Amino acid sequence: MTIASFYVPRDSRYRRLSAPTKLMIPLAVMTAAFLIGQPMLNLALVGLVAVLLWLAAIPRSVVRTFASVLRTLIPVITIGWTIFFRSGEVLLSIGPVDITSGGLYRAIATDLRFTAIVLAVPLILAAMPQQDLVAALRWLHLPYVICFIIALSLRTIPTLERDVTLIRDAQRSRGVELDRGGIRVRLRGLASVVLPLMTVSIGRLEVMSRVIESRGVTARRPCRTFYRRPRPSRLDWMLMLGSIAALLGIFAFSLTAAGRQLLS
Amino acid sequence: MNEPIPPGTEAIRLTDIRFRYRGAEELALDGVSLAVQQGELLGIVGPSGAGKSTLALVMSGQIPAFVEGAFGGETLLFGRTTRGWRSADLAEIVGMVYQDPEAQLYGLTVEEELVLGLENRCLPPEEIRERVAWALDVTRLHDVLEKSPYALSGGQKQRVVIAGVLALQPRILVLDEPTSALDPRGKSGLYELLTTLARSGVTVVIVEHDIERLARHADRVCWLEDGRVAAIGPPEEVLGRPAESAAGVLRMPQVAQLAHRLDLAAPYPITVERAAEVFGHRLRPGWVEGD
Repeated sequence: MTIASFYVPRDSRYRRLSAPTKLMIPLAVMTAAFLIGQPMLNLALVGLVAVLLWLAAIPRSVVRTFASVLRTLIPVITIGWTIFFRSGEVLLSIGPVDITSGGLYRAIATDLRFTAIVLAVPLILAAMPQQDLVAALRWLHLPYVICFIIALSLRTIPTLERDVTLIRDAQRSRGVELDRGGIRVRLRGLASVVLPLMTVSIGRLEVMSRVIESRGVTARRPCRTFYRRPRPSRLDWMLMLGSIAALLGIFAFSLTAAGRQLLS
Repeated sequence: MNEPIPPGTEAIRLTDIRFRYRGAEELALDGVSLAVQQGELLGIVGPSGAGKSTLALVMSGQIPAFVEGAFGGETLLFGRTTRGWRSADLAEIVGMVYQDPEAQLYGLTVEEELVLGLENRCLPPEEIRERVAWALDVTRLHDVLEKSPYALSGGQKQRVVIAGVLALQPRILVLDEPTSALDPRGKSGLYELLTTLARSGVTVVIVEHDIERLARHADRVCWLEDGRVAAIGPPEEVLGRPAESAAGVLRMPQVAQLAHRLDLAAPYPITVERAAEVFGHRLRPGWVEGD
């Protein structure tokens, strides 16, 4: 599965929201997860993400793919915080390493924070096609060149995948060892894939840049039009403004003494 | 929409074109002069390295606008020089289709592919809709509008590229070996489309190795060798007469080569239909061994 193939068409009320709303809600959840360092509140955010995933009818297989990232991330975070952050009561001593209550608290909070962030990503990639994502970015008045670069990056993934497969197959047929052998053999095999891939990609980029130029992408025209402009409904506006208001509220609260105590 | 052009107008005029790529020692084009009429379908043929793709880049204005090198001579597209123009500006006059369709796709759906150039040209959504519908109609791509172009077959991808160029409604269409990735059916479909476009007034220039198809569809053929025009004229004149070499015979369509072997008088037939007429009277009952 690649980024290009994460989108799964389904119908649900969440899916019928406009693209900017479907972008704004997960971004608000992710930002909130960054601002909040309290485990119970982070757990509540994870719960909110789970509800959103259900509302967006994201298939379990996609959620499992993203959850697999956490399998690597959570042990690293847990070990890092418990070993290197010392605060509060010492719960356990293993040689020179003291595991403290403060370190454990931070580890749990960060684990939950990253769980919320990682599981919110399929709400963007799997709930709307890439062109909607780019349309949402354009609607949010992100500079056109940045939106185009994002679209172009997403577009090059399937092509690169195909090129890599083709070159690997071609090199295997020439007897190049790609899957077995020691590090030296594998590195040599990797070079035999990377070098032709670079040659092919550079040649293709040259043609692509000519085509893009001829389509007027680089033309300085402030009047650039929208063919399919996202049209948020009243519900969309309420959800978007609600997300922004909630974020601003959390941010403002985090600046107060009570907020610092409760959120961190 | 471009203003209508009266038939017979000169679409392309090249005068003494010389071009050397940056870092190269040899000239890729060496004194090429030719003219193409509006609505004409011109085929460019020649051996590898003859300068065909470079000539296509000159005709599309990519040289000197985009490709670096030493350029001499003058290219006029509908009387307008290509010097000093950006290729984005020239796109209103000329559209270019390259060999590899994958390198020319950037949209995440077929619709996006067709729309991007039109949005950048500041057209209102209603006109974009009309142009997209027309381009889809011409290229027969209605059923794939919402699909990712990367999931399509080679022939469909090439048609998406052509539709993207056509949506911009250029007066000149230059294609550099567009059929190399296509199966015979895809090739036939593409040539039918190009012939229809030429009949509707679009000037079509196609760089091609498949001389059999050019013999059937082109109004004129330009034979390029070592960066120079070796011959230009109607297909039967250029492809139906052998040059004074074995290579000159090999450049002919197979039916013309057969006529040459049979010691018929040149110009030889270059299409199967014409060959059937010419050879027909020679075929009599009992002529084929074993009858």
